[in-house]
Amino acid sequence: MELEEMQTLWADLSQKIEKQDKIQKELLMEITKQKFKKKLDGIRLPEMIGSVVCYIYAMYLLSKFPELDLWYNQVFAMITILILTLLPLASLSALKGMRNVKIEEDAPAQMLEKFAKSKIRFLNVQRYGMIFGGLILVTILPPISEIQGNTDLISKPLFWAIYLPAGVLSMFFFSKWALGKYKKVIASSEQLLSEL
Amino acid sequence: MSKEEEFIHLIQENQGLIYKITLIYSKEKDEQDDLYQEIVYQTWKSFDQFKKASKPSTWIYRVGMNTAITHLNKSKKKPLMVSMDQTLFNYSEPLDSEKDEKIQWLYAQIRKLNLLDRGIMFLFLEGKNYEEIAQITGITTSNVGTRMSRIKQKLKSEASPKPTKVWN
Repeated sequence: MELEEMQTLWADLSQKIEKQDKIQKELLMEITKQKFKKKLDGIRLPEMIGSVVCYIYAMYLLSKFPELDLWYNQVFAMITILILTLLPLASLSALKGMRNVKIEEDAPAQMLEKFAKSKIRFLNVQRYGMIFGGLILVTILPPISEIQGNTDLISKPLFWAIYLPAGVLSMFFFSKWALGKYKKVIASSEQLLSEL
Repeated sequence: MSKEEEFIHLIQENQGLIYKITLIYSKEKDEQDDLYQEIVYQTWKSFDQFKKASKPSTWIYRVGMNTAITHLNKSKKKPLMVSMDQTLFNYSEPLDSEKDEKIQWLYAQIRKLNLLDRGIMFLFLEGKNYEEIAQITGITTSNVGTRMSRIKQKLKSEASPKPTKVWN
């Protein structure tokens, strides 16, 4: 089929579509409102809840910081506070980058590039998030135990012998599963870029 | 005219265009309906920008194509919330079978192209010239020309639709 024939065919189709009845006003607004609600619930809420939980923990540790006498617990607490503060910030900012792709302003070629880049950035943040999440597994326990005056548990080698392998193993399997998913998305984003 | 009324008017005027974008960017009816809703939503969300835009048609093409591209990139298909059956957009009016077959073949060929080329081919079929296509897609006119000749070659290398057997 030649391009000219395709154009004629397309023009026929366009004519037929134009003849269709107009979409009803009520339905149009219903679609728009429901989409709007869905977006708000689906994206912002879980991210915000996660960040609030992180900040509550960070504030708790910060408020109890003067009660820590042991130097290594102070270091652990500082590391935990830093991760709990910076990780949600990085994640929210990367998500904002993805959501801020200007569908109404950018031309498709530029938008395609920006979207793929911001997606890669978001997924990288998630990847680092999992690594730091694993680090928190270790750093959060000693200061919390000292604050609660219950150092017996963490001073037992048996506890660490069970907790560490179990924690690291579950983190490893979870990360492997999640990274597999992320890698697929990164690959598709990179393919988008290369297709340009 | 209120903002809501202006928006409804804009969508009603351009619903055919939006529908055609959904046809070239998705294959399944459910996906097309979902994409249609997404384009309407994105248009509403950025409606204030539209008022500043110099050329409404360019803007609608951009929003539609950009939404289709980002929508296709989302990994999971979400369930529909509003049934689109009521829109009378079922395109149930029968075309003659040969024409229908050719149109289906045409969609299939366009969907084989990458996301940007799909948009370029769509704009070409819409009767836009290379300058207009370049302005809408954000690439240079010469790049449009190069891409169009590649698309032509690709389409030529594909077989034309096979004629259906007619039983007497």
